[in-house]
Amino acid sequence: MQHKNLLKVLALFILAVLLLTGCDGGSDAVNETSDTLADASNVGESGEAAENGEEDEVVKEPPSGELVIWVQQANQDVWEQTVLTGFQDMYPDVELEFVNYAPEEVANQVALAIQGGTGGPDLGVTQYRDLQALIALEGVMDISGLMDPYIDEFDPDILAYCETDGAYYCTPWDIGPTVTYYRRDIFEAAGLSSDPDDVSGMLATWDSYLETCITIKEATGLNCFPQNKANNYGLMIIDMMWQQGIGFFDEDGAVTIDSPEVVAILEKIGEFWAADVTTDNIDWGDAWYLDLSANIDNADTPPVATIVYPSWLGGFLKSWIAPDQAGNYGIALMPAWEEGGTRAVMAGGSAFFIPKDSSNPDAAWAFIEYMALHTENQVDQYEYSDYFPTLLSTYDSPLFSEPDPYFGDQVTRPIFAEVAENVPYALMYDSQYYNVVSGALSTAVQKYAIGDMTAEEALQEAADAVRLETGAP
Amino acid sequence: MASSNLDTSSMKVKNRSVWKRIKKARWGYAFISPFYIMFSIFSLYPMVLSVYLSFTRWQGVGPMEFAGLVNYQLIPKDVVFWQSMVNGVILFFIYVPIMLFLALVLAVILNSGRVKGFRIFRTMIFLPFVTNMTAAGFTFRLMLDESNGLFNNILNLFGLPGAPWLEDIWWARISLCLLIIWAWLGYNMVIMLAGLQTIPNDLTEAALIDGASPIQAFFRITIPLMKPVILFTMITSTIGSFALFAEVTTLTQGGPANATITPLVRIYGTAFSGSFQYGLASAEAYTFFICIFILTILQFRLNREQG
Repeated sequence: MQHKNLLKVLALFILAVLLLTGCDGGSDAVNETSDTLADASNVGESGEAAENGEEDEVVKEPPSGELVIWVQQANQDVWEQTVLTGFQDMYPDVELEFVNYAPEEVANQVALAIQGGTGGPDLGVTQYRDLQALIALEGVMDISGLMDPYIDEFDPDILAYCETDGAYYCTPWDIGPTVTYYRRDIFEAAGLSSDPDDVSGMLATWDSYLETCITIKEATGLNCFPQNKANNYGLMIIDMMWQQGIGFFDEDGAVTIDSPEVVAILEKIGEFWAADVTTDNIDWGDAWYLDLSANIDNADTPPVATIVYPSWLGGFLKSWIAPDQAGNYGIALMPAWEEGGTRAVMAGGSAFFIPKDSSNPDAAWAFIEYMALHTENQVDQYEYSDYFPTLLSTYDSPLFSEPDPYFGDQVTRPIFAEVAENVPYALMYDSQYYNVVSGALSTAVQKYAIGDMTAEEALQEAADAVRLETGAP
Repeated sequence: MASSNLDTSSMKVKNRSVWKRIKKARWGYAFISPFYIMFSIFSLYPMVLSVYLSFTRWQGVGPMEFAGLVNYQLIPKDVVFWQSMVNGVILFFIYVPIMLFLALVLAVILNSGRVKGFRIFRTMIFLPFVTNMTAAGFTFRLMLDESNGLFNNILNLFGLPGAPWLEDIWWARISLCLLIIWAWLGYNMVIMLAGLQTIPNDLTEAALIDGASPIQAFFRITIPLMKPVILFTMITSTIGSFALFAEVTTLTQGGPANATITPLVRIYGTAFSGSFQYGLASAEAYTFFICIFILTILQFRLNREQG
């Protein structure tokens, strides 16, 4: 009898091990379910489905049930403060549940959920930079059928971040066209014109930007922009690469970050450090906020004159970084690499994606349509947040011709639209290794900035690290 | 033929006696089984799987593609991994001697019987060890902020210039060591205290009566007798310096310029931060394991030779 009991304990132990470690069988089952849902969702909206009466009937049934959305808090705030109630009125049977993560954590958590076969959200919103890695894990639903009617509504270069092998896996929500934010009061104190067109002219190239920075420093003692050395995020080097159409990989998939062009870019950044026109404050730290928000006469924590940053910074300046500087900021185009070169680039921006394991893809798509594919709704969200919309139809909105009081009544939105339309293609966000390369690049910038290595050595080491980790030539 | 029959029957007898012994202690086994079940699932299985993973290319989904020694061939060229190993050595030399010396001194003071409220002091010194490292790491980050942090504000109060705590390679390493010492001093002190309590007081007392100073007694009697305990704390601290994770991710994120990245942070990055190279990460993990294993054996040998 006791012998039998011991056998039972052993059997239970083996069963427990098998249950907890036999992930393969479990994930197959989940994938099977999700494939079915994906098929249903694709068929439901495709042209073929319209010919089929029965399936058409299924489509017309409004979505219902729980919709779990993984999203960063700032994005959820935008919905809540603008059009979310409209969605809830339209789909009263959809029960929304938001789960907040830090911006980069949404994708990390979804990746773990995909790899563990444990589900994840019904709908997710994450940065473009993280999406291709998720798509490569084969855990994101192919929504080509659903996206078909909307393809022409987007800039093809933006849509490319959602596309892999001819299929679409996400829906762009916002992008971050990059401009130069400048302080009118500081330019005037330096004896320079603060008119946006004049400032755009002064900052026509990175060289003329440097000259302007030196003029401002000599006249006012104020620095031109924050550019931390030891913990540099690598945003500036990526901006300068992207605006020249230099991606992380070339057409043959070879790593580019040790090319002479990128070495020249890093050395150009070095010229700003050598001229001592930057503060050493790290992005999104307290001192960085003071760089952007301090009054011109603040001797303890003096402000900087400019910052080259994406559109969404505008919303943060207005709402919590520098609300007191209303009227003092202006917007000009970013500098070009060379005279007459491209003055457009983007950074950040997010897209909606439906995981393959989503248990409510119909409600997820209804949410996407409402938030990202509806012109008025996109305009409302943009007006509130400065998250620049991706739908081309929004650029015709009357909002785009309205002056912005925060920017001294400058009509800024057409500038962002112009930038958005001129962003050159570079293989950046549509690489599954974006985060690997950007991490290696920021380390290279740091090593160069602190004098540990030359630009060439630092970038060579970074490129080798990327080659090792990605297997790229 | 006859001998093989004999072998089989003796094997059977042996098996039966093993089984009998297990049966006899069945309740004991039943009570310790939860640990082994958990250990098998969450430690043994991943450890064994990692060996196999290190010979494959796998991104967490789909079939594992056997790749032979490819991942191990990449390791010598893995600059970031080797930098993380060097960082582990540097961090070890900065904080381990200071931390263990402080732990021993504090333990001796608390063990002397002359400290009133000994339990309160012991608890206070041990408290950081049970504090959540994420909370502690972020708090240290705020306190070490170059422009607004508490540390530099205090230095400025005394007319001293602030230090670039997290903005310079060496200062960042020192900052990390400060956090580690703060967090782990209490743990090591308690181990030392337990060790000290096994040393009879008579020895120190006899030395003091014979005219030795307390410092001489400490170095000539306490430290030699505490050698096994010091060795234990040294080994755990050695492994600890290479296996730092939460401290690094919350305080420095491995920066600046990878100066504080540790092997565990690197392995985590290879596996989970973007490229999902589980094969390479497993190869890094086993290379790391072998290095630590050799280091630990060397420490044992060195101690035995000195002993």
